[in-house]
This record gives sequence, structure tokens and C-alpha cells, in this order.
Amino acid sequence: MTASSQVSPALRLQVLHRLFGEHHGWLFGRLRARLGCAHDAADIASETFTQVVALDDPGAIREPRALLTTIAKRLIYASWRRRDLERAYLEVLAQQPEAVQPSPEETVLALEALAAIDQLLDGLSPKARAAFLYSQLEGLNYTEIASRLGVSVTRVHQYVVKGLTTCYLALEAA
Amino acid sequence: MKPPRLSPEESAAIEWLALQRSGRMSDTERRRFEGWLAENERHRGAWERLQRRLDSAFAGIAGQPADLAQKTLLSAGSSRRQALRGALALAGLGLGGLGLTRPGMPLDGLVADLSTATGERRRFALADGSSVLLNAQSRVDIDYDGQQRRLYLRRGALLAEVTADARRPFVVETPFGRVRALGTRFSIALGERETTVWVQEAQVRLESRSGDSLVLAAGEGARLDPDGCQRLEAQRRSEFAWQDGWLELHDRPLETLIAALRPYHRGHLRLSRDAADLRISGLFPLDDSEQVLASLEEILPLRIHRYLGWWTNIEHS
Repeated sequence: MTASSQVSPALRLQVLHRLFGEHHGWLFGRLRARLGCAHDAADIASETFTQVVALDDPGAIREPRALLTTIAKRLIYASWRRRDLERAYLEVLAQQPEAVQPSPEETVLALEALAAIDQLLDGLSPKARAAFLYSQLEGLNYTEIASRLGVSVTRVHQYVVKGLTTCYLALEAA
Repeated sequence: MKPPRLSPEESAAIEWLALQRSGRMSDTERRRFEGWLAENERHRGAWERLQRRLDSAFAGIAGQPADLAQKTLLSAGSSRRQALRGALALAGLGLGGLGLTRPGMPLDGLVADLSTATGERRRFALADGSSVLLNAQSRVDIDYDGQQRRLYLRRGALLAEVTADARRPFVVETPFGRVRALGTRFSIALGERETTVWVQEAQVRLESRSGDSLVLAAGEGARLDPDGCQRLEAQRRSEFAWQDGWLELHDRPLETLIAALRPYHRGHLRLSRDAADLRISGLFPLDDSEQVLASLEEILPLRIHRYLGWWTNIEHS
């Protein structure tokens, strides 16, 4: 990969302008059609280009539309996850007694925090995720978790190690 | 790019923490752990980093009611997520399949998409003079060429007015089957488990994925699902006449009304299981979902709660 210091800032800017000019309209149109919502499409399109801007050497991109598609797909998936989380949160909330309802501000912050954790746990199987959360959030011991999940204690230990590893490595990137 | 890897001491730190959490750490193991910690700076550093990162990661939800965060994270991570992944692949951008990465592909080639937003009904004219009226929150792909006129209904519903063309059959594809126009005017709606078709003028031929087929005449309707083609009673036609913005129901479950209302309502509409089965009849204006919800509270034993300006929960009271 070319180091950015080898590409002059002026040339880089020119490349980015051209990429934007040639492909933003196209990407926005495709997203709008697929997502059925201009607002979401605009958000995803602009976030996609933000990521392109952050690349070392945008001039080296051979298939811009393929790259834009890949980035956009990843962003859409992430936003589906956030919506899924939000829906789950509100459903759980709806089952809580009235006294515990948080304020709108608290909800926004809570969802951000939950989304961050959800992202950290990406890649864990449903059982591994459950085992890890039972240990981390509820403080259950492995005998209890094993009984809940219908697996052996050894397996629970493996799940927790996997969960800790996944979190730890994900946090390293931050 | 190399995948990130744990150093030996980081690996060890994780194993120790996992052991501590098991609730079955013996005294011997505890002493061994303390020995490991004391052994050198790297071990202590790894242990401290692990603790610190975990604490900071979970600090964000520390203030929440204990089970709220856990239930949310577990629910969101369930197998529904896997299904979502599949859905994204199915309904997703799939641009490669459309050949858009081929050089020189024009923006408005023979393959194009039509879509509508929440609460929006819109008519689109097609290249051959036919037109489609799309219901709210609907999506259609058009694929016209020299041999055929093919539409793919991806979401929602459409009402087609088809101009005659002897050389090119007009076909609408859905995951549950296809509809071939033998005449001029019909509507088609894509549901979660079936496709529903009603004919206004002339005839259509239905072909289910299982190979079943059926010809429908004006005023007739049918359902396409994994079992094949099923005729529907003529009386239910008004349930699918969304094009004028009115929904007429005769003793149908509330679920039917809410499903028809969702593409017209900003925000999430949740219907509880026992409320969904309540029977309802009447004429409902789709374009005014708030009014419909308000009137529902008056005529049925329901409790309707709104949260955060976009989540509405409908329950049996």
C-alpha cells in the first residue's frame, strides 16, 4: 500500500473530488432504491465516502463502485444491528414496571453504550455470547451457566475465554 | 492485514480471569495465580490492561437496571440476527448480480428500481406505456428487454395497468411465485408468508414456486404460498384495495389492520399477541394512521402507549 506521504495533498483532493462526482449520485440512488428511504440513503452514502476519504491512497482504487458497495453494505448491516438492539431494548423496557422507565436522554446514552458492547461481541456464537454475558453482567458461576445453557462446565469456560478474548482484541483497536 | 493476536501473557491473563469467574477456583490455583502475577512486570501489565479494558467497556451500562442491559443484549444477539444477515443478502444491494460493475453500464439502463417512502403512494410510468401504482413502503425492480417485461416485487404492493404487447409477456415475480398478465389490470401484494393477487380487469395466470398454477378472472383473488395457489373469498377483496387509501375489513383479526397500516405509519407499531386476534370490521383511512389508532382505542378493549415519539405499543387491556 502506498504511503500517503508519496501522494501530494493536491492530487489526493483531486482524486477524491472525482470519486465523489462520479459515484456519489449513483450510490445515493442505489441506496435510496434498496432502503426505500432517502434520509437513510443520504446518511449511509455520506458515511461511506467519509471512510473512503480516510483511505491512504484513494487513487489506487481500481473498482470504486465495488469498494463503495462493500463499505455501504457493512454500514447498512451495522445500522440494522443498532435498530435490532433498539427494538430489543424497547421491548424489554415495555415489560418493566412503570417506575423504571428511563428518560429519553438516558435511553439514548444507554443505547449507545449497548451498541458499543454489541459491537464488541460481534462474531461470538449465540451460546458463547450468552455465557459471557451471564458471567460478566449477572455474575453467575459456571455451574449455573452450564445448567442454563445445557452445556458442560468446560464448555462454559471455553465460551467465557472466547468472549473475553473477543472483547479484549476488539478494544485493542480502539 | 495480520489478524490481531494475543501475547502469551495476555492469553494467560484471560485464562486466569476465566478461572476466577468460574466459582471453582481452588486455593492452590489462587496461590499459583498470585505467583504468576508476582513473577514479572509483563504479567502484571497484561492483567491490569485486561481489567481496565473490560471495566471501561462495561462502565457505560453500569447505571442501568441490572437485567435490562442483559436481556437487551441477549435478545438482540439471538438467532433473529442470523436471519437478518440472510435477509440482507437476499434483499441487499446485490449489485454484482445486476452487472453494474461492468464498465460502461449506463445509470438508467434497462434495469431500474422504483420505491416509495412511508405513507407515499405513487404511480410510475413504464417504458412501454404500462404503469404501476406502488403502495407505501414498496419496492419494485424493472427488467424490460426485447423478449419480456419482467418486474420483481421486492417489498409492499403494486397495482399494474398493462398495455398489450403480443411479443412480450408482462410478468411480476415474487419469492412465492409469479403472476403473468393475460390482460390489463391487477394488484399484487408481498406479505411475509404469501403473495396476494386480485384482478380488476381481464385475467392473470398465477404460478407458485411449487409448480401449482391458477388462472384468475376479474373480481377474483388468490394467495401464493409455499403450499401453492389458494383462491380467496371475493369479500376479502376490499382488504387489498389500498389504492384509494381506504381499508375495508369484514370481521378480520386486528393484525390485518395493523399490517396494512405499518407502511403508512412513521415509527414502530408493536401489536401484542392477544390484541392481534381481536376481531374488527369497518372502513379505515390508511393516510391517517393516527386517527385509525385513536378510533381503535374507542371501539376495542385496547391500551395504546407511545414511547419516545416513534414506538407505539398496542395491547389488550
